[in-house]
Amino acid sequence: MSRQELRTFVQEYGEAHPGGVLRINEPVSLSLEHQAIVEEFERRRRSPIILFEHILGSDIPIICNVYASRRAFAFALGVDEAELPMEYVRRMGEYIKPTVVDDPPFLNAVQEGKKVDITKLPVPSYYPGDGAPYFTAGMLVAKDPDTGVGTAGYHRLQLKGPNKLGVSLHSRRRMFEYQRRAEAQGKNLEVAIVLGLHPILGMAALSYPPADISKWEVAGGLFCEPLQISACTNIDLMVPTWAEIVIEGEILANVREPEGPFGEFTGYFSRRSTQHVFEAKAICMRMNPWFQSIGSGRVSDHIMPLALLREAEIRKAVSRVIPNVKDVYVPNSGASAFTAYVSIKQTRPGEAKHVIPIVLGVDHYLKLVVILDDDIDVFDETDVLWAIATRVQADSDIITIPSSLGAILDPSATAQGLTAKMGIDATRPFGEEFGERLKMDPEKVAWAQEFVTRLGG
Amino acid sequence: MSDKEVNRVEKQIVQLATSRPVFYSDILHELKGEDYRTIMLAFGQIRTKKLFDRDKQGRYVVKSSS
Repeated sequence: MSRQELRTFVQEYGEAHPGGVLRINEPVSLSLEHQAIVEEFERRRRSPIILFEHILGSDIPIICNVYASRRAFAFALGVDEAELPMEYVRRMGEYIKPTVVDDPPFLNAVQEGKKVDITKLPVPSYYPGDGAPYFTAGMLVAKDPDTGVGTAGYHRLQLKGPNKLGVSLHSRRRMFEYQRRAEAQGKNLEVAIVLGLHPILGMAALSYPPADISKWEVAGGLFCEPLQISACTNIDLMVPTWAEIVIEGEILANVREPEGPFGEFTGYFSRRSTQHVFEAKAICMRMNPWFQSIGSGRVSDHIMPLALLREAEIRKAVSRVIPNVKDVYVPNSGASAFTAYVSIKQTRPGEAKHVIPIVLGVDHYLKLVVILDDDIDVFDETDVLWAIATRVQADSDIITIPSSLGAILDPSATAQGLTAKMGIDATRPFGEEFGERLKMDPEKVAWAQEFVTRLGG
Repeated sequence: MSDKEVNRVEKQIVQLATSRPVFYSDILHELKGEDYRTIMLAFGQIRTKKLFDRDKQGRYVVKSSS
């Protein structure tokens, strides 16, 4: 056992949080059912890690919802939930180089060449309307063909055949660029698809380190120890030692095929895709592997990590220029991608408007930013909307930027992914008289709480 | 499973898509007695042969030339 192992994390999290891990023994079909169960928990505002032990037609269990809660991520970092954003920011800047380990468990069973058959894995279908079964928790690992710097990121993978997957690199970040560089040299890009990873690796994969820093170094910082990595068998790449399953192969140069539709984080089916094609050379698995799935669409398993990362990056960026950032929230209502609420304690006039372009520049997905005073609870959207209703004048407090780089999956963006951006200054004018907010006497608040509790409320 | 099984399911899928446009989930629903993996393999064969197009809703339809 290793503390960098998903199984260890699940076991320890379940012990620390009774009810935090649910083992389902009843048979569950790969056709929509596991996603439906995840959604039902979501409706009940519960986010247990779920191990589907009896998948119909497969001997391999599915682990799901590992990334669904702030509590699980806080546990992964070993901190309280309240400390999570600051600790995430702090550790993301502490790069630790990985260490190489021989004989990783994922080399226990290796299929190569014509024996490769991805359809033997329990690849689920998520929504009616999806084009095919999909891998959602496949972390793609590759190296920059020019510099050799490694990257890792999540991309949807459509099952197309025993050794073929469709892949969309629509986030247009490092993997997209590495593939473009390889293609310019007339080469396929070697890629490993890694499944079944500790949540810290998910946090690292989503990060934005400088171009010369690999995601494995970020993971080391988050673990506070070197990430253990091991060599693939058929391609020149290193992957996390404690992975459950590794699929080795290449993204083919100059090959594009239809991919999608797929239920995306936006809450819509997406037909937009970069339409790349991955060809598998080998499948490596540990003994009795777990197949990891990330719930599709707007479920927390899919979008919570994105929110956490954006909150951390926004906090880091804004704190450089504003001394008093109180809270940052990237809400599910904005698909954990498009919207950010930032509360600040104003100390100088104009700080709120100064901050707007800084927040929008953190991430090209962000398209609506609201800056609020520190008396507003950014995690309470009713409070945020009240501030907008009572502190905003549209002719002076709203800034828009037309035709900016946006998310290609945003259905309101152009086909090229261009989007307008909006910043709202919902703060009170600094240093000027403004309406006095209603506030109950704190002693009476405490008295009323006790009173209502005594009544059984 | 055998190639014969996969070919049989492939024919069923093509028949289904000939009768009406279908999502992948419709195929899974209509062929729910069949093994999930057999359907994946059969659908893979259909892709390789490029037998299907998509309509505006993203449903699979048999190519007119097929």
